[in-house]
Amino acid sequence: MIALLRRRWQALSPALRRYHRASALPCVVFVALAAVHEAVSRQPGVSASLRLVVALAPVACLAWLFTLYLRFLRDCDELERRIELGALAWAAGIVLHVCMACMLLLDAGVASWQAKDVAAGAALLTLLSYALVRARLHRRYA
Amino acid sequence: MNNRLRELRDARGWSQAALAEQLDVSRQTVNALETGKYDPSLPLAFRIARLFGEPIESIFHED
Repeated sequence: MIALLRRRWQALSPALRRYHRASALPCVVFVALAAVHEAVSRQPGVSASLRLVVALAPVACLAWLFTLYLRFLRDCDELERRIELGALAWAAGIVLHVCMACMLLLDAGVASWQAKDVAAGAALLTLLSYALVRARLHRRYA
Repeated sequence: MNNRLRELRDARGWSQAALAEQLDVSRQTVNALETGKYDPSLPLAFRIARLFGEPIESIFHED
């Protein structure tokens, strides 16, 4: 199992290996901050300003991760960049359509979803569609 | 677009990984170029031509 993982790791491009190594810390910090947010937001006596800071801290961590991703996009080779940009474009297009449909359905009173659920769904859909399209494009050029 | 990349690489006894390292691209890119699944950008085509010491048009040609 470890040998298989090592082979897969070696098969990655140097830019992607660097990105994965660099993104490990922000990922761990994000999970920790999200857990803190979950705990703090349910405490009754916490001030609004503290709740605001704790709620936005994971977003700052995501921005850190996004900066690393942009650096990876700059450093990767042209085929890898083509795959990444293709996956991002597909993900953006799919989520844009779904968000527009949700907005119109909510506006028409046909649906009554919570804003939090819609936002979480849009974030998950973005990640899922990016991952699926990226995997498909990688297979195409394999 | 067709190319003679595999032929040129084989003639020098290089692996795909070795060629990828010299061109500063991933092995996947070299494989995609050799199988005709991907056409290189002009800067990469120039790098390939320079590495093999041949003009671009002798390495890459239309179908």
